[in-house]
Amino acid sequence: MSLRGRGDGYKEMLQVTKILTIEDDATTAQEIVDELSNHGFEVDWASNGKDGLDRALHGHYDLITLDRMLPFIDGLAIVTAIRAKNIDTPVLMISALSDVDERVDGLRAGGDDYLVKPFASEEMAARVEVLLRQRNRPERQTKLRVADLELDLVARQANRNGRVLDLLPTEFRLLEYMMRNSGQIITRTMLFESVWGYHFDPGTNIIDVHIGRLRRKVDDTALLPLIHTVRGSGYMLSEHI
Amino acid sequence: MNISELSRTVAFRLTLLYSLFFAACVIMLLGFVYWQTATEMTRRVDQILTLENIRLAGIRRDHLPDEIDKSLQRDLRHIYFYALFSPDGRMIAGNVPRLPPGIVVDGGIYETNFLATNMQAQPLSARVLAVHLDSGNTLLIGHDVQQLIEFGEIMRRAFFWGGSLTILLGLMFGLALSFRPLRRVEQIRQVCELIARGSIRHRLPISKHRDELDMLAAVVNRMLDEIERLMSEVKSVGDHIAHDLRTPLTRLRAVLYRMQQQLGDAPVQRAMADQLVVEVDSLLLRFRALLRISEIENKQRREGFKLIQLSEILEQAFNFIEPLAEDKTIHLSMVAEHVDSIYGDGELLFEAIVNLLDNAVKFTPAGGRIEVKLSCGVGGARVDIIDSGSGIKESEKMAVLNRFYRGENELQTSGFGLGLSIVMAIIRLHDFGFELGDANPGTRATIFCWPRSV
Repeated sequence: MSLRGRGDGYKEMLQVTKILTIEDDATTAQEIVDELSNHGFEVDWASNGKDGLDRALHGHYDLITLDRMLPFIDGLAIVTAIRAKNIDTPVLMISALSDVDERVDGLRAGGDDYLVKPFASEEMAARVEVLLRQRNRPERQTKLRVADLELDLVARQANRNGRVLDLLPTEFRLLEYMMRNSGQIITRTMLFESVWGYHFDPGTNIIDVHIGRLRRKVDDTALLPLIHTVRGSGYMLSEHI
Repeated sequence: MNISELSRTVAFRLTLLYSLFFAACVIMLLGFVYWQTATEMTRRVDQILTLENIRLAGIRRDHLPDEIDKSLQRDLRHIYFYALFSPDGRMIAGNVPRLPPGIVVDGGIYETNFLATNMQAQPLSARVLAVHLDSGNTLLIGHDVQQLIEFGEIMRRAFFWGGSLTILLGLMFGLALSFRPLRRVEQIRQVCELIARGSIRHRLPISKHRDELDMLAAVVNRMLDEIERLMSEVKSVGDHIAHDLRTPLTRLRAVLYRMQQQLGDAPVQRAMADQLVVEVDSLLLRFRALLRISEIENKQRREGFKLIQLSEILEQAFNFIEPLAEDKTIHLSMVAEHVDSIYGDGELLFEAIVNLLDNAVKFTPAGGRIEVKLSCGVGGARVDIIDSGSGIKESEKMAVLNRFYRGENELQTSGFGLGLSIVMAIIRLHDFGFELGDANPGTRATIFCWPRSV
């Protein structure tokens, strides 16, 4: 199943996306490589920090997944070194260190996202997709549009099929995030982190309930449903199913 | 440190006991001195009286009144009494108007009080000897013992003041002596309380005096060193296990997921694979929750702490959980008084409150109520979450705060039993208080947002 390229134009389709995985555990690395290859990416694996840093500096990758704890050079040092060379390749840090402080350290050093082990492959892939997408996104958008759903970021107003939607602030932020990443799988954790800004497991099905509420407002029965549930993974906002 | 505490110390009690004992010794010594002196003085008076009797016995009877007068004239200190009574009791000569009562006229010496002619104002104490003369008259010879009585008076005053002063000084000395050990005990108590609250790194203070308290403190400190070492060993074993489990769990999940993706059209196997992925995911969720608890518990630093507005956090949590309540047709309401901003980690407090609210929603049947209240408590802000659910049995209250515990009636609701443990870890990190109480019916969960140590 490849989710790449929907609504992105042809440029990205023609050009193969190259990803570097720096991970010392062979099985985990294999899984990352398999999952990302399944998504249509070309993935290189570096099994230690020295090798990884070398490739990151000279390999022209579109994205790097980076383990925090590596032989020779640790993840934080690698991301710091890359950023010092003005290489702005998105970096997804993958770490067994889940503490909030560790996350802050990772992001402060220049990581773009932080995923804690043990993780689900889909979660990792979804984050990679979103990071790649962010990179190609035009800087200043005042309006987001998916099919007949329009979000005015200046007026903080959403309308569907010409009808204004009555959204609560949280629902607006949810919809904004989903529309910015339309066509991508978005996991519950990603929604919780980016919409609410917290980094813990909210438990239960509370994100689902929030999405359910938003869905009732956005997807009127008469209209084409835009918010889709991706079984076992999360959600996707898209005009295609 | 008050008087009642001071007076309970060993030093004070010992000092008081010593001073009582010392006071008793002083009194006994003074008593002995008095008794010896009084006996000696009495003996000498009696000797004088006997000698005087012998002297007067040698005087001719008809010269006796003259001799008595002369003797009285010689007695410039007025300490002698003489009297000669006729058989009908009339005084013939001397300075004692009548025979004092209680005197047996047999030559023995008695002590008595009487009014002398030269000292009409007050009765005098004297030792008196009376004899029948062969002429039928009665001769009385007496010697004043006022001195002896005054001496006794002085001794009694000495007893009183000496005893009281000794006891008073003993009391003061005892209080002063117990002050230092008690201050040490107070220091030790404070440190122990810190340790009991989980800061195992503290040690008891040891002074340079090397006294018995220092000996005890040194032993306790050695014990604490050992406990800390064991705890860190257990923790590092636990952390290692947790750490080592992360990678295999990630692999397991990944391989299962890959299998699920590649099964294609085999409905039975697919269903089994789906089931497996769901199970592994719930395993991962519990595992993360456990790691989260030890993460919070291991947090010694309070780097994330800053001044935060509880009302904002509550409102966020309220808005976050509100759809969940609405789905279950539970009426969720919030009342927020104005409270001062508190010092804490907003993200963790949000997590704690969301957990409590989530629990409340779980335990409240459809159609119930949940009320969130922010108010001013005794020491600062307090947050109450009151639900109309089935409540928690008194016997279960402590248990529900433990890891993995689930109430009996929770079996049909989802949850991993770790929510309240996370809440407790967060509360402990903040040094706040937490209480589960009755709301009749239902449960009242309260966070007291001020240090427990105050």
